[in-house]
Amino acid sequence: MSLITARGLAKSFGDVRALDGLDLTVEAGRIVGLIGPNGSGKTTALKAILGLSHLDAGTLDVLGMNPATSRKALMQRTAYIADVGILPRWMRVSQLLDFVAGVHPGFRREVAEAHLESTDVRPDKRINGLSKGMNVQLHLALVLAIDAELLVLDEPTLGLDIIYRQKFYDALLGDYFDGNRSILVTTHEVREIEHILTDVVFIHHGRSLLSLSMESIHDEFAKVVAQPTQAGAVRSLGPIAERTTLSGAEFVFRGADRDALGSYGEVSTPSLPELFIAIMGDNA
Amino acid sequence: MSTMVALIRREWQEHQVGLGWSPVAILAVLALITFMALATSTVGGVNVSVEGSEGSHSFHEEVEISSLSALAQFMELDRWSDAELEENLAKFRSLVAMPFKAVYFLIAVFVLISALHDDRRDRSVLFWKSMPVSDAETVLSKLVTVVWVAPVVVIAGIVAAQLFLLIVISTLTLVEDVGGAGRLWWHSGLLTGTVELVVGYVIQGFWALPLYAWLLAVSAAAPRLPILWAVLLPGLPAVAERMVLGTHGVSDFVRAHLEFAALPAAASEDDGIIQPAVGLAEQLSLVFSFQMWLGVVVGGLLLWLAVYLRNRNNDL
Repeated sequence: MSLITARGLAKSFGDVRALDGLDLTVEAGRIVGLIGPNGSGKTTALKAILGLSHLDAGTLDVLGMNPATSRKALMQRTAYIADVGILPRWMRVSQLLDFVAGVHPGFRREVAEAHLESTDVRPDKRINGLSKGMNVQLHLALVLAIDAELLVLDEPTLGLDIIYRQKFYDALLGDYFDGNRSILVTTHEVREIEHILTDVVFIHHGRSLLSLSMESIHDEFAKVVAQPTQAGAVRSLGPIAERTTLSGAEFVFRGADRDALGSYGEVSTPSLPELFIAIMGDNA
Repeated sequence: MSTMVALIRREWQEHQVGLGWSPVAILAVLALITFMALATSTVGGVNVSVEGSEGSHSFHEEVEISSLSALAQFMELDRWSDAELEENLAKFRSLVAMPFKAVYFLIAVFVLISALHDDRRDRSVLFWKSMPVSDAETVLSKLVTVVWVAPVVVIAGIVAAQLFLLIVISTLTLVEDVGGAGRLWWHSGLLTGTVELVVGYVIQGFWALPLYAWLLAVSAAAPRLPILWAVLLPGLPAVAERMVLGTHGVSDFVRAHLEFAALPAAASEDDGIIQPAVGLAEQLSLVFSFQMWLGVVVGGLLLWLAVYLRNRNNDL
Protein backbone atom coordinates (compact mmCIF):
# COMPACT_ATOMS: atom_id res chain seq x y z
CA MET A 1 0.00 0.00 0.00
CA SER A 2 1.31 3.45 -0.85
CA LEU A 3 1.37 5.99 1.94
CA ILE A 4 2.54 8.74 -0.36
CA THR A 5 1.85 9.04 -4.05
CA ALA A 6 3.11 12.19 -5.69
CA ARG A 7 2.90 12.84 -9.42
CA GLY A 8 4.28 15.82 -11.27
CA LEU A 9 4.62 18.11 -8.27
CA ALA A 10 5.49 21.65 -9.30
CA LYS A 11 6.14 24.71 -7.21
CA SER A 12 7.87 27.95 -8.08
CA PHE A 13 9.08 30.78 -5.90
CA GLY A 14 9.31 33.69 -8.27
CA ASP A 15 11.69 32.59 -11.03
CA VAL A 16 13.02 29.65 -9.04
CA ARG A 17 11.45 26.28 -9.78
CA ALA A 18 11.73 24.49 -6.46
CA LEU A 19 9.75 21.49 -7.71
CA ASP A 20 9.62 20.70 -11.38
CA GLY A 21 7.52 17.62 -11.95
CA LEU A 22 8.61 15.54 -8.96
CA ASP A 23 7.32 11.97 -8.73
CA LEU A 24 7.57 10.11 -5.46
CA THR A 25 6.10 6.97 -3.95
CA VAL A 26 6.49 5.76 -0.40
CA GLU A 27 5.15 2.32 0.44
CA ALA A 28 4.15 1.16 3.91
CA GLY A 29 6.99 -0.29 5.95
CA ARG A 30 9.80 1.47 4.10
CA ILE A 31 12.48 3.95 5.09
CA VAL A 32 12.94 6.23 2.14
CA GLY A 33 15.82 8.64 1.83
CA LEU A 34 15.16 11.75 -0.22
CA ILE A 35 18.65 12.77 -1.18
CA GLY A 36 19.81 15.79 -3.04
CA PRO A 37 22.14 18.76 -2.87
CA ASN A 38 21.18 22.01 -1.19
CA GLY A 39 18.38 23.76 -3.04
CA SER A 40 17.27 20.62 -4.87
CA GLY A 41 13.68 20.88 -3.60
CA LYS A 42 13.81 18.38 -0.73
CA THR A 43 12.32 20.65 1.90
CA THR A 44 9.71 22.04 -0.48
CA ALA A 45 8.63 18.49 -1.28
CA LEU A 46 8.35 17.59 2.40
CA LYS A 47 6.38 20.73 3.15
CA ALA A 48 3.93 19.89 0.40
CA ILE A 49 3.57 16.35 1.76
CA LEU A 50 2.81 17.79 5.21
CA GLY A 51 0.30 20.31 3.89
CA LEU A 52 2.58 23.23 4.73
CA SER A 53 3.04 24.37 1.19
CA HIS A 54 0.60 24.86 -1.66
CA LEU A 55 1.55 23.35 -4.99
CA ASP A 56 1.29 25.02 -8.37
CA ALA A 57 0.57 21.72 -10.12
CA GLY A 58 0.59 17.95 -9.64
CA THR A 59 -1.38 15.42 -7.62
CA LEU A 60 -0.46 14.45 -4.12
CA ASP A 61 -2.03 11.77 -1.97
CA VAL A 62 -0.78 11.16 1.56
CA LEU A 63 -2.55 8.47 3.63
CA GLY A 64 -5.51 8.87 1.30
CA MET A 65 -5.76 12.61 1.88
CA ASN A 66 -4.90 15.83 0.13
CA PRO A 67 -2.45 17.45 2.55
CA ALA A 68 -3.21 21.00 1.43
CA THR A 69 -6.83 20.71 2.53
CA SER A 70 -6.66 18.05 5.26
CA ARG A 71 -3.61 18.97 7.32
CA LYS A 72 -5.37 18.53 10.66
CA ALA A 73 -6.58 15.00 9.88
CA LEU A 74 -3.26 14.13 8.28
CA MET A 75 -1.27 15.23 11.33
CA GLN A 76 -3.14 12.77 13.54
CA ARG A 77 -1.33 10.01 11.66
CA THR A 78 1.88 11.77 10.67
CA ALA A 79 4.79 13.08 12.69
CA TYR A 80 7.44 15.55 11.65
CA ILE A 81 10.85 16.62 12.85
CA ALA A 82 12.64 19.43 11.06
CA ASP A 83 16.26 20.40 11.44
CA VAL A 84 16.89 21.20 15.09
CA GLY A 85 15.18 23.99 16.88
CA ILE A 86 11.52 24.20 15.86
CA LEU A 87 10.23 23.41 19.33
CA PRO A 88 8.84 26.58 20.97
CA ARG A 89 11.73 28.02 22.95
CA TRP A 90 9.68 29.78 25.62
CA MET A 91 7.94 26.58 26.75
CA ARG A 92 8.87 24.26 29.56
CA VAL A 93 9.21 20.58 28.76
CA SER A 94 6.22 19.68 30.95
CA GLN A 95 4.10 22.38 29.27
CA LEU A 96 5.03 20.97 25.88
CA LEU A 97 3.96 17.49 27.00
CA ASP A 98 0.69 18.95 28.36
CA PHE A 99 0.06 20.67 25.06
CA VAL A 100 0.67 17.65 22.85
CA ALA A 101 -1.44 15.51 25.21
CA GLY A 102 -4.21 18.10 24.87
CA VAL A 103 -4.31 18.29 21.08
CA HIS A 104 -3.08 14.91 19.85
CA PRO A 105 -5.44 11.96 20.32
CA GLY A 106 -2.67 9.47 19.51
CA PHE A 107 -0.15 10.81 22.04
CA ARG A 108 0.83 8.54 24.93
CA ARG A 109 2.42 10.81 27.49
CA GLU A 110 3.88 7.99 29.58
CA VAL A 111 5.81 6.76 26.55
CA ALA A 112 7.33 10.19 26.00
CA GLU A 113 8.19 10.49 29.69
CA ALA A 114 9.80 7.06 29.67
CA HIS A 115 12.00 8.09 26.74
CA LEU A 116 12.97 11.33 28.45
CA GLU A 117 13.93 9.39 31.60
CA SER A 118 17.01 8.12 29.79
CA THR A 119 18.09 11.64 28.79
CA ASP A 120 19.13 14.81 30.59
CA VAL A 121 15.92 16.54 29.54
CA ARG A 122 14.07 17.35 32.78
CA PRO A 123 10.35 18.28 32.77
CA ASP A 124 10.86 21.65 34.46
CA LYS A 125 13.50 22.82 31.99
CA ARG A 126 12.81 25.52 29.45
CA ILE A 127 13.37 24.44 25.86
CA ASN A 128 15.44 27.60 25.42
CA GLY A 129 17.95 26.13 27.86
CA LEU A 130 18.30 22.75 26.14
CA SER A 131 21.29 21.93 23.97
CA LYS A 132 20.74 21.08 20.30
CA GLY A 133 21.13 17.42 21.12
CA MET A 134 18.62 17.54 23.97
CA ASN A 135 16.24 19.46 21.76
CA VAL A 136 16.25 16.63 19.23
CA GLN A 137 15.93 14.03 21.99
CA LEU A 138 12.84 15.83 23.26
CA HIS A 139 11.29 16.08 19.82
CA LEU A 140 12.09 12.44 19.19
CA ALA A 141 10.47 11.47 22.50
CA LEU A 142 7.30 13.27 21.41
CA VAL A 143 7.31 11.59 18.03
CA LEU A 144 7.97 8.14 19.48
CA ALA A 145 4.95 8.62 21.74
CA ILE A 146 2.70 9.51 18.81
CA ASP A 147 1.18 6.55 17.09
CA ALA A 148 2.02 7.85 13.62
CA GLU A 149 2.06 5.76 10.48
CA LEU A 150 4.33 8.14 8.66
CA LEU A 151 7.31 9.97 10.07
CA VAL A 152 8.82 12.80 8.05
CA LEU A 153 12.33 13.92 8.96
CA ASP A 154 13.94 16.98 7.41
CA GLU A 155 17.67 17.05 8.11
CA PRO A 156 16.89 15.86 11.64
CA THR A 157 20.46 15.59 12.86
CA LEU A 158 21.89 18.78 11.38
CA GLY A 159 24.40 20.29 13.74
CA LEU A 160 24.48 17.35 16.14
CA ASP A 161 27.65 15.61 17.19
CA ILE A 162 28.22 12.03 16.15
CA ILE A 163 27.07 10.48 19.43
CA TYR A 164 23.69 12.19 19.31
CA ARG A 165 23.34 11.32 15.61
CA GLN A 166 24.01 7.68 16.35
CA LYS A 167 21.57 7.67 19.27
CA PHE A 168 18.94 9.34 17.14
CA TYR A 169 19.01 6.75 14.38
CA ASP A 170 19.31 3.88 16.87
CA ALA A 171 16.16 5.07 18.65
CA LEU A 172 14.41 5.50 15.34
CA LEU A 173 15.15 1.94 14.28
CA GLY A 174 14.72 0.40 17.72
CA ASP A 175 11.65 2.21 19.01
CA TYR A 176 9.78 3.62 16.06
CA PHE A 177 10.27 1.50 13.00
CA ASP A 178 8.34 -1.75 13.23
CA GLY A 179 7.88 -2.79 9.62
CA ASN A 180 4.44 -1.20 9.29
CA ARG A 181 5.37 2.41 9.75
CA SER A 182 7.23 4.41 7.17
CA ILE A 183 9.89 7.05 7.38
CA LEU A 184 10.69 9.65 4.78
CA VAL A 185 13.99 11.33 5.55
CA THR A 186 15.94 14.04 3.77
CA THR A 187 19.58 14.80 4.25
CA HIS A 188 22.54 15.81 2.23
CA GLU A 189 24.71 13.76 4.56
CA VAL A 190 24.21 10.61 2.55
CA ARG A 191 26.71 8.48 4.43
CA GLU A 192 24.89 9.06 7.70
CA ILE A 193 21.67 7.30 6.70
CA GLU A 194 22.92 4.83 4.10
CA HIS A 195 22.73 1.86 6.45
CA ILE A 196 19.14 2.43 7.59
CA LEU A 197 17.41 3.11 4.27
CA THR A 198 15.29 0.60 2.39
CA ASP A 199 14.77 2.92 -0.57
CA VAL A 200 16.43 5.94 -2.01
CA VAL A 201 15.25 8.80 -4.20
CA PHE A 202 17.78 11.19 -5.71
CA ILE A 203 16.32 14.61 -6.30
CA HIS A 204 17.85 17.46 -8.24
CA HIS A 205 16.40 20.68 -9.63
CA GLY A 206 13.00 19.64 -8.33
CA ARG A 207 12.87 16.34 -10.22
CA SER A 208 13.60 12.79 -9.15
CA LEU A 209 16.62 11.46 -11.01
CA LEU A 210 16.62 7.99 -9.55
CA SER A 211 14.25 6.03 -7.39
CA LEU A 212 15.03 2.48 -6.31
CA SER A 213 15.34 0.11 -3.38
CA MET A 214 18.67 -0.40 -1.69
CA GLU A 215 18.74 -4.09 -2.70
CA SER A 216 18.40 -3.23 -6.35
CA ILE A 217 21.42 -0.95 -6.24
CA HIS A 218 23.55 -4.09 -6.23
CA ASP A 219 21.68 -5.51 -9.22
CA GLU A 220 21.65 -2.36 -11.21
CA PHE A 221 24.92 -0.59 -10.52
CA ALA A 222 28.53 -1.73 -10.54
CA LYS A 223 31.81 -0.02 -9.82
CA VAL A 224 35.10 -1.03 -11.32
CA VAL A 225 38.55 0.35 -10.58
CA ALA A 226 40.77 -0.08 -13.63
CA GLN A 227 44.49 0.40 -14.17
CA PRO A 228 45.30 3.56 -16.16
CA THR A 229 46.33 1.44 -19.15
CA GLN A 230 42.87 -0.15 -19.26
CA ALA A 231 40.94 3.08 -18.76
CA GLY A 232 40.30 3.62 -22.44
CA ALA A 233 38.85 0.13 -22.90
CA VAL A 234 36.57 0.49 -19.86
CA ARG A 235 35.46 3.92 -20.98
CA SER A 236 34.29 2.45 -24.27
CA LEU A 237 31.80 0.26 -22.37
CA GLY A 238 29.72 3.36 -21.54
CA PRO A 239 30.07 4.12 -17.82
CA ILE A 240 27.69 6.67 -16.34
CA ALA A 241 30.50 8.28 -14.38
CA GLU A 242 34.24 8.27 -14.16
CA ARG A 243 36.73 9.71 -11.73
CA THR A 244 40.41 9.34 -10.97
CA THR A 245 41.40 8.02 -7.55
CA LEU A 246 44.69 7.05 -5.95
CA SER A 247 44.12 3.40 -6.84
CA GLY A 248 43.28 4.06 -10.47
CA ALA A 249 40.41 5.18 -12.68
CA GLU A 250 37.02 4.46 -11.09
CA PHE A 251 34.00 3.82 -13.30
CA VAL A 252 30.35 3.41 -12.36
CA PHE A 253 28.11 1.40 -14.66
CA ARG A 254 24.38 1.02 -14.80
CA GLY A 255 22.88 -2.26 -16.00
CA ALA A 256 26.28 -3.65 -16.99
CA ASP A 257 27.39 -7.28 -16.96
CA ARG A 258 29.51 -7.69 -13.81
CA ASP A 259 31.43 -10.66 -15.20
CA ALA A 260 32.47 -8.69 -18.27
CA LEU A 261 33.66 -5.82 -16.09
CA GLY A 262 35.64 -8.25 -13.93
CA SER A 263 38.35 -8.63 -16.55
CA TYR A 264 39.32 -4.95 -16.19
CA GLY A 265 39.63 -4.76 -12.43
CA GLU A 266 37.89 -5.35 -9.13
CA VAL A 267 34.09 -5.03 -9.41
CA SER A 268 32.01 -3.85 -6.43
CA THR A 269 28.71 -2.15 -5.65
CA PRO A 270 29.01 1.60 -5.38
CA SER A 271 28.21 3.11 -2.01
CA LEU A 272 25.35 5.54 -1.79
CA PRO A 273 27.66 8.60 -1.78
CA GLU A 274 29.51 7.22 -4.81
CA LEU A 275 26.24 6.58 -6.58
CA PHE A 276 24.98 10.00 -5.60
CA ILE A 277 28.04 11.68 -7.10
CA ALA A 278 27.88 9.50 -10.22
CA ILE A 279 24.22 10.34 -10.85
CA MET A 280 24.44 13.98 -9.82
CA GLY A 281 27.67 14.52 -11.72
CA ASP A 282 25.90 14.48 -15.04
CA ASN A 283 23.10 16.69 -13.85
CA ALA A 284 24.91 19.28 -11.79
CA MET B 1 -13.27 21.09 22.81
CA SER B 2 -10.22 19.68 24.60
CA THR B 3 -8.14 20.99 21.70
CA MET B 4 -9.42 24.49 22.31
CA VAL B 5 -8.74 24.20 26.04
CA ALA B 6 -5.18 23.05 25.35
CA LEU B 7 -4.66 25.87 22.85
CA ILE B 8 -5.96 28.54 25.22
CA ARG B 9 -3.84 27.15 28.04
CA ARG B 10 -0.84 27.31 25.72
CA GLU B 11 -1.59 30.94 24.86
CA TRP B 12 -1.96 31.78 28.50
CA GLN B 13 1.37 30.15 29.37
CA GLU B 14 3.11 32.12 26.64
CA HIS B 15 1.68 35.48 27.73
CA GLN B 16 1.34 34.84 31.44
CA VAL B 17 3.67 37.67 32.35
CA GLY B 18 2.02 40.30 30.17
CA LEU B 19 -1.61 39.33 30.52
CA GLY B 20 -1.62 37.60 33.89
CA TRP B 21 0.85 39.49 36.03
CA SER B 22 0.41 43.06 34.81
CA PRO B 23 -2.87 43.58 36.77
CA VAL B 24 -1.13 42.20 39.85
CA ALA B 25 1.76 44.59 39.30
CA ILE B 26 -0.59 47.58 38.91
CA LEU B 27 -2.40 46.53 42.08
CA ALA B 28 0.91 46.33 43.93
CA VAL B 29 1.98 49.79 42.72
CA LEU B 30 -1.40 51.23 43.71
CA ALA B 31 -1.12 49.69 47.18
CA LEU B 32 2.44 50.95 47.55
CA ILE B 33 1.46 54.51 46.59
CA THR B 34 -1.48 54.41 49.01
CA PHE B 35 0.61 53.19 51.92
CA MET B 36 3.33 55.72 51.18
CA ALA B 37 0.76 58.51 51.13
CA LEU B 38 -0.69 57.28 54.43
CA ALA B 39 2.73 56.91 56.00
CA THR B 40 3.73 60.46 55.15
CA SER B 41 0.36 61.70 56.38
CA THR B 42 0.55 60.03 59.78
CA VAL B 43 3.85 61.68 60.62
CA GLY B 44 2.14 65.00 60.46
CA GLY B 45 2.08 65.83 56.84
CA VAL B 46 4.64 67.02 54.37
CA ASN B 47 6.48 70.28 54.75
CA VAL B 48 7.13 71.96 51.49
CA SER B 49 9.46 74.87 51.54
CA VAL B 50 9.97 77.16 48.63
CA GLU B 51 12.98 79.41 48.48
CA GLY B 52 13.97 81.69 45.72
CA SER B 53 15.32 85.02 44.80
CA GLU B 54 14.66 87.54 42.12
CA GLY B 55 17.17 90.30 41.85
CA SER B 56 17.79 91.66 45.29
CA HIS B 57 14.43 90.35 46.54
CA SER B 58 14.49 86.91 48.14
CA PHE B 59 11.57 84.95 49.59
CA HIS B 60 10.99 81.91 51.77
CA GLU B 61 7.66 80.15 52.12
CA GLU B 62 6.90 77.04 54.14
CA VAL B 63 3.62 75.19 53.75
CA GLU B 64 2.44 72.14 55.63
CA ILE B 65 0.19 70.01 53.48
CA SER B 66 -2.23 67.33 54.55
CA SER B 67 -2.08 65.47 57.76
CA LEU B 68 -4.09 62.32 58.21
CA SER B 69 -7.00 64.16 59.76
CA ALA B 70 -6.98 66.74 56.99
CA LEU B 71 -7.21 63.86 54.55
CA ALA B 72 -10.17 62.45 56.41
CA GLN B 73 -11.77 65.89 56.60
CA PHE B 74 -11.40 66.12 52.88
CA MET B 75 -13.32 62.89 52.53
CA GLU B 76 -16.04 63.96 54.92
CA LEU B 77 -18.67 61.99 53.17
CA ASP B 78 -21.73 63.37 54.88
CA ARG B 79 -21.49 66.68 53.02
CA TRP B 80 -22.54 64.82 49.90
CA SER B 81 -26.11 63.80 49.03
CA ASP B 82 -26.68 60.15 48.10
CA ALA B 83 -26.77 61.05 44.41
CA GLU B 84 -23.55 63.05 44.64
CA LEU B 85 -21.87 60.29 46.57
CA GLU B 86 -22.88 57.71 43.98
CA GLU B 87 -21.68 59.91 41.16
CA ASN B 88 -18.36 60.52 42.85
CA LEU B 89 -17.92 56.85 43.61
CA ALA B 90 -18.65 55.98 40.00
CA LYS B 91 -15.87 58.40 39.00
CA PHE B 92 -13.66 56.81 41.61
CA ARG B 93 -14.33 53.35 40.16
CA SER B 94 -13.51 54.50 36.62
CA LEU B 95 -10.40 56.23 37.79
CA VAL B 96 -9.17 53.10 39.54
CA ALA B 97 -10.02 50.98 36.49
CA MET B 98 -8.18 53.25 34.07
CA PRO B 99 -4.59 52.04 34.49
CA PHE B 100 -5.73 48.40 34.39
CA LYS B 101 -7.70 48.93 31.19
CA ALA B 102 -5.07 51.01 29.45
CA VAL B 103 -2.26 48.57 30.23
CA TYR B 104 -4.42 45.61 29.23
CA PHE B 105 -5.28 47.23 25.93
CA LEU B 106 -1.64 47.96 25.09
CA ILE B 107 -0.59 44.43 25.96
CA ALA B 108 -3.52 42.97 24.00
CA VAL B 109 -2.47 44.90 20.91
CA PHE B 110 1.11 43.72 21.16
CA VAL B 111 0.20 40.10 21.90
CA LEU B 112 -2.14 39.95 18.90
CA ILE B 113 0.18 41.71 16.47
CA SER B 114 2.95 39.23 17.27
CA ALA B 115 0.68 36.19 17.68
CA LEU B 116 1.09 34.80 14.16
CA HIS B 117 4.41 36.48 13.43
CA ASP B 118 6.84 35.48 16.15
CA ASP B 119 6.42 31.75 15.58
CA ARG B 120 7.20 32.25 11.90
CA ARG B 121 10.31 34.16 12.87
CA ASP B 122 11.65 31.49 15.22
CA ARG B 123 10.27 28.72 12.97
CA SER B 124 8.28 27.07 15.77
CA VAL B 125 5.32 27.47 13.41
CA LEU B 126 6.57 24.24 11.83
CA PHE B 127 6.10 22.48 15.14
CA TRP B 128 2.64 23.97 15.78
CA LYS B 129 1.58 22.96 12.30
CA SER B 130 2.86 19.43 12.81
CA MET B 131 0.13 19.01 15.42
CA PRO B 132 -3.44 18.04 14.47
CA VAL B 133 -4.74 21.56 14.97
CA SER B 134 -6.41 23.54 12.20
CA ASP B 135 -5.39 27.07 11.35
CA ALA B 136 -8.86 28.29 12.30
CA GLU B 137 -8.53 26.76 15.77
CA THR B 138 -5.11 28.36 16.21
CA VAL B 139 -6.31 31.82 15.20
CA LEU B 140 -9.48 31.56 17.31
CA SER B 141 -7.58 30.42 20.39
CA LYS B 142 -5.32 33.46 20.18
CA LEU B 143 -8.26 35.81 19.81
CA VAL B 144 -10.30 34.23 22.61
CA THR B 145 -7.39 34.18 25.05
CA VAL B 146 -6.56 37.84 24.61
CA VAL B 147 -10.07 39.23 24.17
CA TRP B 148 -12.22 37.11 26.46
CA VAL B 149 -9.97 35.19 28.85
CA ALA B 150 -7.38 37.78 29.87
CA PRO B 151 -10.04 40.34 30.95
CA VAL B 152 -11.05 37.97 33.76
CA VAL B 153 -7.76 38.80 35.48
CA VAL B 154 -8.05 42.46 34.52
CA ILE B 155 -11.51 42.66 36.10
CA ALA B 156 -10.32 40.79 39.17
CA GLY B 157 -7.47 43.31 39.48
CA ILE B 158 -9.81 46.28 39.11
CA VAL B 159 -12.29 44.96 41.68
CA ALA B 160 -9.48 44.11 44.09
CA ALA B 161 -8.08 47.63 43.73
CA GLN B 162 -11.50 49.21 44.26
CA LEU B 163 -12.12 47.02 47.31
CA PHE B 164 -8.72 47.81 48.72
CA LEU B 165 -9.14 51.57 48.37
CA LEU B 166 -12.67 51.47 49.81
CA ILE B 167 -11.32 49.58 52.80
CA VAL B 168 -8.54 52.15 53.25
CA ILE B 169 -10.95 55.10 52.98
CA SER B 170 -13.55 53.62 55.32
CA THR B 171 -10.87 52.68 57.85
CA LEU B 172 -9.62 56.27 57.69
CA THR B 173 -13.08 57.71 58.29
CA LEU B 174 -13.56 55.33 61.21
CA VAL B 175 -10.19 56.12 62.78
CA GLU B 176 -10.68 59.87 62.42
CA ASP B 177 -14.35 59.52 63.34
CA VAL B 178 -15.70 61.66 60.54
CA GLY B 179 -18.53 59.23 59.77
CA GLY B 180 -19.94 58.01 56.50
CA ALA B 181 -18.27 54.60 56.24
CA GLY B 182 -21.59 52.79 56.08
CA ARG B 183 -22.94 55.08 53.36
CA LEU B 184 -19.68 54.66 51.47
CA TRP B 185 -20.18 50.93 51.15
CA TRP B 186 -23.91 51.16 50.61
CA HIS B 187 -23.44 53.52 47.65
CA SER B 188 -20.16 52.07 46.40
CA GLY B 189 -21.83 50.50 43.39
CA LEU B 190 -19.20 47.77 43.51
CA LEU B 191 -21.58 44.99 42.46
CA THR B 192 -23.19 46.83 39.54
CA GLY B 193 -19.78 48.17 38.63
CA THR B 194 -18.39 44.65 38.43
CA VAL B 195 -21.32 43.46 36.32
CA GLU B 196 -20.76 46.46 34.05
CA LEU B 197 -17.11 45.54 33.71
CA VAL B 198 -17.91 41.94 32.77
CA VAL B 199 -20.62 42.90 30.30
CA GLY B 200 -18.39 45.69 29.00
CA TYR B 201 -15.53 43.36 28.17
CA VAL B 202 -17.79 40.78 26.54
CA ILE B 203 -19.38 43.44 24.33
CA GLN B 204 -16.09 45.18 23.77
CA GLY B 205 -14.64 41.99 22.31
CA PHE B 206 -17.26 42.07 19.58
CA TRP B 207 -17.20 45.83 19.18
CA ALA B 208 -13.45 45.87 18.70
CA LEU B 209 -13.40 42.70 16.60
CA PRO B 210 -12.31 44.54 13.43
CA LEU B 211 -9.29 45.88 15.28
CA TYR B 212 -8.30 42.58 16.87
CA ALA B 213 -8.92 40.54 13.72
CA TRP B 214 -6.99 43.09 11.71
CA LEU B 215 -3.99 42.74 14.01
CA LEU B 216 -4.12 38.94 13.62
CA ALA B 217 -4.37 39.14 9.83
CA VAL B 218 -1.39 41.49 9.60
CA SER B 219 0.48 39.31 12.06
CA ALA B 220 -0.04 36.27 9.81
CA ALA B 221 1.30 38.00 6.72
CA ALA B 222 3.78 40.73 7.58
CA PRO B 223 7.35 39.82 6.67
CA ARG B 224 8.64 41.98 9.53
CA LEU B 225 7.55 44.88 11.75
CA PRO B 226 3.87 43.83 11.72
CA ILE B 227 2.88 46.79 13.92
CA LEU B 228 4.05 49.17 11.21
CA TRP B 229 1.99 47.37 8.57
CA ALA B 230 -1.01 47.35 10.89
CA VAL B 231 -0.89 51.12 11.22
CA LEU B 232 0.11 52.06 7.66
CA LEU B 233 -2.34 49.88 5.75
CA PRO B 234 -5.52 51.48 7.13
CA GLY B 235 -3.77 54.83 7.54
CA LEU B 236 -3.08 55.26 3.86
CA PRO B 237 -6.66 54.70 2.59
CA ALA B 238 -7.93 57.02 5.34
CA VAL B 239 -5.59 59.74 4.14
CA ALA B 240 -6.45 58.98 0.50
CA GLU B 241 -10.20 59.21 1.22
CA ARG B 242 -9.72 62.57 2.89
CA MET B 243 -7.67 63.89 -0.03
CA VAL B 244 -9.69 62.48 -2.90
CA LEU B 245 -13.28 62.48 -1.61
CA GLY B 246 -12.88 64.99 1.17
CA THR B 247 -14.78 62.67 3.52
CA HIS B 248 -13.52 60.75 6.52
CA GLY B 249 -15.65 57.62 6.76
CA VAL B 250 -12.68 55.26 7.05
CA SER B 251 -10.93 57.23 9.76
CA ASP B 252 -14.21 57.72 11.67
CA PHE B 253 -14.90 54.00 11.57
CA VAL B 254 -11.40 53.15 12.72
CA ARG B 255 -11.44 55.77 15.45
CA ALA B 256 -14.85 54.75 16.78
CA HIS B 257 -13.77 51.15 17.18
CA LEU B 258 -10.36 52.05 18.49
CA GLU B 259 -11.70 54.34 21.22
CA PHE B 260 -14.16 51.84 22.52
CA ALA B 261 -11.62 49.08 22.34
CA ALA B 262 -9.16 51.08 24.38
CA LEU B 263 -11.52 52.11 27.13
CA PRO B 264 -14.65 49.99 26.96
CA ALA B 265 -17.48 51.13 29.14
CA ALA B 266 -15.02 53.27 30.96
CA ALA B 267 -13.89 56.72 31.51
CA SER B 268 -14.17 59.02 28.57
CA GLU B 269 -12.59 62.35 29.02
CA ASP B 270 -14.96 65.24 28.55
CA ASP B 271 -13.62 68.75 29.15
CA GLY B 272 -10.79 67.15 31.04
CA ILE B 273 -13.24 65.64 33.53
CA ILE B 274 -13.43 61.89 33.83
CA GLN B 275 -16.97 60.76 33.19
CA PRO B 276 -18.61 57.82 34.95
CA ALA B 277 -18.54 54.43 33.35
CA VAL B 278 -21.03 53.77 30.62
CA GLY B 279 -24.01 52.15 32.27
CA LEU B 280 -25.39 48.72 31.61
CA ALA B 281 -28.25 50.09 29.54
CA GLU B 282 -25.90 52.08 27.33
CA GLN B 283 -23.65 49.07 26.88
CA LEU B 284 -26.53 46.80 25.97
CA SER B 285 -27.90 49.35 23.53
CA LEU B 286 -24.62 49.00 21.64
CA VAL B 287 -25.48 45.39 20.94
CA PHE B 288 -28.38 46.56 18.80
CA SER B 289 -26.49 49.31 17.03
CA PHE B 290 -25.61 49.25 13.35
CA GLN B 291 -21.96 50.12 14.07
CA MET B 292 -21.65 47.06 16.27
CA TRP B 293 -22.85 44.61 13.64
CA LEU B 294 -20.99 46.28 10.84
CA GLY B 295 -17.92 45.81 13.00
CA VAL B 296 -18.71 42.16 13.66
CA VAL B 297 -19.13 41.47 9.93
CA VAL B 298 -15.90 43.30 9.06
CA GLY B 299 -14.17 41.55 11.97
CA GLY B 300 -15.43 38.17 10.79
CA LEU B 301 -14.09 38.77 7.30
CA LEU B 302 -10.73 39.86 8.69
CA LEU B 303 -10.62 36.75 10.89
CA TRP B 304 -11.24 34.62 7.84
CA LEU B 305 -8.38 36.49 6.15
CA ALA B 306 -6.15 35.81 9.15
CA VAL B 307 -6.91 32.07 8.94
CA TYR B 308 -6.29 32.07 5.19
CA LEU B 309 -2.97 33.87 5.59
CA ARG B 310 -1.96 31.60 8.45
CA ASN B 311 -2.57 28.67 6.15
CA ARG B 312 -0.40 30.10 3.38
CA ASN B 313 2.47 31.58 5.35
CA ASN B 314 5.02 29.53 7.24
CA ASP B 315 8.09 31.64 6.69
CA LEU B 316 9.01 35.25 6.89
